[in-house]
Amino acid sequence: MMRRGLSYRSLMIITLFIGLFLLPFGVSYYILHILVMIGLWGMLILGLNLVGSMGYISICHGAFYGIGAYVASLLTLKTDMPFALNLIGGSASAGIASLLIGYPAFRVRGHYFAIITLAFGLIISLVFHNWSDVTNGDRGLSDIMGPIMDPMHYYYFTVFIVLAVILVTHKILYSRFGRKLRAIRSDENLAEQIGVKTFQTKLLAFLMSAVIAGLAGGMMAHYTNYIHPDLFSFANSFSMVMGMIVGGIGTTSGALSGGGVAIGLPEILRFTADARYIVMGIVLVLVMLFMPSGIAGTFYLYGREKKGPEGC
Amino acid sequence: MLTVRRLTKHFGGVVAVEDLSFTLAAGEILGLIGPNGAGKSTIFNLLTGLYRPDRGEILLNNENIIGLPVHQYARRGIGRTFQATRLFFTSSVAENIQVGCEVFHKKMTGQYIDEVLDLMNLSERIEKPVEQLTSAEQRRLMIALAMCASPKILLLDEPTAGMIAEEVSETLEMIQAIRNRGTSILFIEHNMRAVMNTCDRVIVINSGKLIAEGTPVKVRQNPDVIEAYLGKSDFHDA
Repeated sequence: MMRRGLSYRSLMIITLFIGLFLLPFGVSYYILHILVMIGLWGMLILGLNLVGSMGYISICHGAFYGIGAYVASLLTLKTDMPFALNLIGGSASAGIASLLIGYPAFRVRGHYFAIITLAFGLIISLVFHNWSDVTNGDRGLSDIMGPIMDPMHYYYFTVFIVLAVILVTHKILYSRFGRKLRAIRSDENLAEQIGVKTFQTKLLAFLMSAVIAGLAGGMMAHYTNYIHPDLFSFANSFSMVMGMIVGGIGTTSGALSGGGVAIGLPEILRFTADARYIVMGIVLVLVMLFMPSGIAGTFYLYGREKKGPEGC
Repeated sequence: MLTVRRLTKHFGGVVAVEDLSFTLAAGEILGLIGPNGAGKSTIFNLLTGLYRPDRGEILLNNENIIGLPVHQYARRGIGRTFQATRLFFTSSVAENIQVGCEVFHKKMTGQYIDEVLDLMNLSERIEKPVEQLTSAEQRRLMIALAMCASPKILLLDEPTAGMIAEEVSETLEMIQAIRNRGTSILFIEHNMRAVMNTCDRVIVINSGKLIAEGTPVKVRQNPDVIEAYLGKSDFHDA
């Protein structure tokens, strides 16, 4: 039974790899661009999932995405540091920012935490707009050239990094640390009472999540070669949360499908201009009403139901 | 082992605990009884750091533990259960115990998990989601979760609440087994028969104040206790 299960899993993984390898062939650059952006947003939501897994909602991941993008871009534009170090610099800066905001924010819980992160996101957005000497204000930063300029190569680079992030976040979610996160989501007071250092655990999850967002930001900047403050606005932070909820909180497949919805849906609805935000809002409401566990959660529950009760 | 001196807690104008002093010796089962609203659960919340007392001292092995972060109480060896069942309801029995045991037993976690589940007779239910357990099993799982820290002191808040007679006897045997491992137990219970048959000593509080202390036999004859419990037939019947 186990041998059959393992071979089926291996087959799925091999098919997935072949699929990912062949996907860019025969598609337009536009589709390729969408695929890269879905990958980057998948990363963002995979990171955000670490915070979501402990029952917290962060509305400032757009800011971490932006900090990563700006710092990595500035390092590329102003220094001769290698590309990898620029990305690491962007990630690390987002991580440091997460500690600065997380330390006071995790003194409170639930909605209060979400409101503090919202405020932080708005402040950082204002900094991007107004600290013109560094960020070049509303004109943004351009000519951010990395070593990978071909879109197809960037697609493979993104796939590689996304798979690495999937592996890392999956390991985290199913480790001792992940169990602590789920315990915090289930009953934070009880977790604390049985000895879990809840504050440190939450801060570490927030830090890891911001580092991933910062990496995605740096990658996005070197992919599009141009960034401006509106890419990291409150609306984007909100879209990430929406993607996480629609995909299914705490699951890898949910994060990727959430990334697909957050990037793909506005593209599909582009012909409706600004009305697409109304449609996206309706989608969110419908998912919360009829699929409260998100896309991945609903498929999981459906699969379990089909399998029948335990022991059958 | 545990010494409480002149512990006082007010909520606004309401006196929850007033000038309370008692001790809990190593390996002792101490009953904490009193009418509803007497302040019993508040005492547990004070002893585990959820509330900070207005006055007084809580000494664990002669060290004052007031003001420590809540997670440190478990790490210092104080485990507890709650009056209402509190567990990680979205997880399985295994994951509940795993979270608790992993905090304290970095190595040999599996062995300790088995030991705790055996102790509380839950080994057969390990893969079950918590929601599928009976109410009695959930309360025993709550004790198992508290036992994950290998506590020196276990605070049990109505561990037999909602159980039928057979389940009560089984749970009391388990509590005795926990004591036999060297754990001291402070035990809130409304089932007077359970208190009188299980505890080495009993303290009685009313309106946050200590009104009697001694062996179960001595306490049940105390006129102040009888007055506080007037009308409680189970107290006389115990």
